[in-house]
Amino acid sequence: MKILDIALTANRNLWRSKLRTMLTILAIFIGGFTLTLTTALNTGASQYLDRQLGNIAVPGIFEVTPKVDFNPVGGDDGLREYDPDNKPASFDSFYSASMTQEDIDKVKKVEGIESVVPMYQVASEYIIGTTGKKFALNMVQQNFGLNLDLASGRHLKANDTASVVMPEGYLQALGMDAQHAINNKVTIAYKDRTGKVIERQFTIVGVARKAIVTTGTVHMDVNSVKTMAEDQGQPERYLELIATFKDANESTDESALKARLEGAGTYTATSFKESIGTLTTVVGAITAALNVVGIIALLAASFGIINTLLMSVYERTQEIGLMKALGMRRGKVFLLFAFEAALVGFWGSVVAVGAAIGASALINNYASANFLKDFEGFTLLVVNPGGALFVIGLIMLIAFVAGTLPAIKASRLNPIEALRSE
Amino acid sequence: MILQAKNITKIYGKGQTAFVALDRVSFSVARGESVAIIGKSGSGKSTLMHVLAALDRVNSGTIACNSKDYESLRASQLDGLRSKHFGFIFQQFFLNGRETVLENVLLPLKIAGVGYGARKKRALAALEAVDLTDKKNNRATDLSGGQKQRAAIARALVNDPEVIFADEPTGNLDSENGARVEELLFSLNRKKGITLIIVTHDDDLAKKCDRQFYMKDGQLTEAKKK
Repeated sequence: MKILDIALTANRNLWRSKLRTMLTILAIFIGGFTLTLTTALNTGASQYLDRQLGNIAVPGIFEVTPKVDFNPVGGDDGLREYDPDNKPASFDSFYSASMTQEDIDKVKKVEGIESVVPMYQVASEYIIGTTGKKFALNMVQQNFGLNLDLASGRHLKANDTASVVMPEGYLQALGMDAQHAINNKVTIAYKDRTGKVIERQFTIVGVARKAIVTTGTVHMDVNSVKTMAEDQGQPERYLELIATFKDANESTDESALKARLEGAGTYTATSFKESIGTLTTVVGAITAALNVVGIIALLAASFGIINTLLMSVYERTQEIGLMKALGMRRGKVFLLFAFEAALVGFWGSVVAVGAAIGASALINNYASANFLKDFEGFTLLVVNPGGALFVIGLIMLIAFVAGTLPAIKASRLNPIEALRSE
Repeated sequence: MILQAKNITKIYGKGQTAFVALDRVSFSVARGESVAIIGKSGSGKSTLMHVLAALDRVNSGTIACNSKDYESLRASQLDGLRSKHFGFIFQQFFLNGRETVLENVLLPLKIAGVGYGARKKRALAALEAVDLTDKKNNRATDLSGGQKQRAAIARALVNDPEVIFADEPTGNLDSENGARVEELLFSLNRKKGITLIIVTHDDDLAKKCDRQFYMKDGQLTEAKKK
């Protein structure tokens, strides 16, 4: 028997007992639908994260922090000997800022390092635009390692002074728009260590688009931040250092750079790419957990397939016997039933994927009008062709495997006994 | 000799409950012959047909078709033998009631891997031979008993077999339809030279064959020529 004939015969046999087949397909449908939606959620979230974060991390930039021992001191173990290089973590973030000029010098000596700057802790009071009105502003961010999504202008550079990149959303209140904000001046005020308000003028060099990690942050060049930190009396101790390597690009092996940094002292080095990777991993883990639900539904459904096909083999014993008597080979009889199982998987998954595409459209519509309103460009569920084909393939495989038991039973039937059975 | 069996023994079960269905049977059939195997139920006549048709293996002895020993053939080669060289007719017809007469008739060709166009053509020719052309698109379940057996004959001859094995072909038919089926079978034997092996307990049918063999308690004896 030719393979095409086997497939066509299997499909025809499948629809002999319509209700039974429909119910089996329904079980597969539920699993397939769940799996398609969870896969779509993963794709949607990953695409959004990629768009938001994918290019934001400049390669070769690391946060360097002291390696801390998270074992608490005291308690049952009593006191332990003091070791300046292996201090227990402090719960006071200000005190635990333990990176000093000495550490900066150490890290600077690491091979391939372009620059090392401390991460300053600064606070601001208000901002004034072209309208002269004061707006509360409690934080400015030192520029480091982030490739902001710019609506206009340029990124901050290491040698900039009195420069800022403004978030797009602030411009209107300040009396500007994205196209005409560049080179405009803003005044940012902060309190010095004695509480006196200091106003400084900054030039807008760039305007950043809205994104989840950078929304509402005014980015300031590192030199200005340094001045601000000094005015505010930040001690020469820092929570972390920002180390930038020369000539790093997307294909650079960051693990080697990381090892070099960590080898320079008792440090922990984390690249920005790595931090963002962690976020993607978390999304992956959540959707993987959801996928498990779909897979369990499919496993339950596969027992339905086994049951249905066993009944079918029992009912068609005589027919199978006849086909074997007429010279149909064992392997072909096996295929006939295994194909039937795979077809249950095929129809179930195709309908499930179709329904999931429809449901995704409805859910996306609702989501973007409601709970995802503030997440511009976040399509919650994305069914891509590859994912859909993967789901269909996976389900057909599961169904085929489920079909092997009844198929083996059918292929082993003795034609004489099968023909004798009533 | 198209079929040759030497000293074949078939035993069902083991030990105390062992049952000897065929006891050192030797048997041969020439090409184009029509042969009747006559016996009561349980005499072993169906078992003889099954082992000759390569549907079952013997415990000892040898069977050969066209001088090819079954023992030396693989299962798939035996399947090929049945598919290409043998035709089968059963007392209970074994037609698939849900499918059309045409589909039932072309099943052996489908199994043999004949292409769609060729198998339809050959199945229509076989239906023509049994005078069922007008019923080709009817469901098999809608046919009368005689029509069903004629459809089964069409199915048996659709692959141009050398041998047709018929197990009580008229057993479920009234005398009129039985006669028509007999006539068909013997005309195939005469016109196409198809070897006929008919298993029956009907002496009248057996007498129409060239040779008659009697099966009793697993042993085979040939009837004396009249």
